[in-house]
Amino acid sequence: MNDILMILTACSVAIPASLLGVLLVSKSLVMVGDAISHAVLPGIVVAYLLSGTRDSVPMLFGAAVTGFLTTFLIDFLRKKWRIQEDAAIGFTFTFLFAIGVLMIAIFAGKNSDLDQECVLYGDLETSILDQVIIGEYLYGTRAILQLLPLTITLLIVIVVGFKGWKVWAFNPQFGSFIGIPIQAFHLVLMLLLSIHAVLSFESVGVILVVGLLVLPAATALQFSRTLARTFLYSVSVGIVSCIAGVFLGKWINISISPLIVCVNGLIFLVSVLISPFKKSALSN
Amino acid sequence: MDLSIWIVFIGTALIGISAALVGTFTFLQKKSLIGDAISHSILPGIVLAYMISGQRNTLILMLGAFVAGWLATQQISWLQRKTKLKSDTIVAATLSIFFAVGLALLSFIQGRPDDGQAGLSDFLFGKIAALNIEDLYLFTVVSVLIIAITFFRYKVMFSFAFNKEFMISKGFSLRWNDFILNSMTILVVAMGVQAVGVVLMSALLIIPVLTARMLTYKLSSLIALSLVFGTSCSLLGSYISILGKNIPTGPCIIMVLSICAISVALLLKIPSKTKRTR
Repeated sequence: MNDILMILTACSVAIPASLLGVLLVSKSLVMVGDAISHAVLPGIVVAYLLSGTRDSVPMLFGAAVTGFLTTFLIDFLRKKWRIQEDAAIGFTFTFLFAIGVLMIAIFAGKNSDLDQECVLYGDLETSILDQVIIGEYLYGTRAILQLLPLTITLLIVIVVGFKGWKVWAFNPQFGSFIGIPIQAFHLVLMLLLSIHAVLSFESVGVILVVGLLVLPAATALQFSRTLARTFLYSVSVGIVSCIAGVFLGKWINISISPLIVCVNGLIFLVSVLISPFKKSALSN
Repeated sequence: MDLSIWIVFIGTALIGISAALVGTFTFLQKKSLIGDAISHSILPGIVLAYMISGQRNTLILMLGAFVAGWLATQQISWLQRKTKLKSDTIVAATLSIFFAVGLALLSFIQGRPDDGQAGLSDFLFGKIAALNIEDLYLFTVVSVLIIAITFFRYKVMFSFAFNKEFMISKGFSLRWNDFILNSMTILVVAMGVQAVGVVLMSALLIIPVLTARMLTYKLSSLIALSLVFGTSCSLLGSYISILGKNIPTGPCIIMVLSICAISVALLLKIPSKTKRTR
């Protein structure tokens, strides 16, 4: 029973991550995604300090604010300070992450349930103890119930705006020419990304999220030529590596969330070796 | 002031100097995020070196870190040759694979009943106060090495940063220079993680040169200014973190650096407006 619950929890993090990852990879926004998943930390801490609980509503609010703040800051640094993009990203997320860690060290005392290491690693094993039981029936863990609405929203957003996403990713100039609000698509993605980062940090931690975002999508791109297939393959890779990670973790008895990313990485490296699309020497 | 405080200050200064120096060149290559990837990737190297040797010797840990960092850069260039993925995807993929392996190994040794692993999680956020005199000798050797390489190869690295075609036409090898720059980055990161931790090490490479870039466009003054910013801010940051008992060193140094960068930008705002309208 616990195994199933653990797999479900892991999947509930990995499925939206692998969907978001496809969009990030095709627009080469991966490092921005990495930056946001680090930068939600001060949002989480402020929400925790103000509300005193790990309740999700204030945290979601904090996440949305810091997510927008990150995108805004990176843009601001590039345009106003004229800093090249990689340095702007590096500056923004280290700055925000440092604020978050300092706030934890100074304000949240030793006995609070928010410490530096739990934020970094996350802990799948304890997050499944947080079960929601109504009446006699087990409805699932808190992580599943929180991430399910996000996944459904994400699916709706992707399916409804599928053509829009295509234009957004591959030809934004054409998109704004025919009147598609490209900037709005961008902001929606950043919002969903920061909400996902907050909801999943208890299970996998802020740094491993980037692995769940990028690895399934990068694997999927080794085999598919269309956007729809990439989504499909990416989700399947995400699910498979969750299941394998949980069983492997049970077997050798080490922390599961890094293992899931390890399995994912292994699948990615193998997929590069057996990929049907070889980079031709001429294209360089 | 007693000896241990001096050790901490000299160690921080050495880290600040070499990080600012190497950071300038990675910044000019637009490869700042490679520093981020390397700093995450050396975690498995550190943990494995500890598992094999069974002790927390800085030299051995740095050796492990160097091997892991080198493997990561090799993987990045292998993926760049082999796949059509964009470079940010490749960097993020490498970073997360290595970091996940590191965390998995860390959780493996934390599950074992031995007590020596306690210090290893310091590498995540850094703890400069744990430095001792032998570490300082090692740091001095590494810093002198880095400064010497920059000093003697200054002209080559200058053209490597700004005019690669010229460099090739003069018969210098791109791969060899890439290798040297990568090795320098790995060395600096392996040294710096003891003070600021793997998560925030990239900031120590990026922020000093970013601040200096706002003030000047000349390479020699860029290096000089980023050395000044890097060193003074890391000293101030580590001093603050020693004063307050429970404050991790890494975030403290990064905060001081960021505040410095922001205030420079704000101070520049007024005169630069008049300059640009000219």
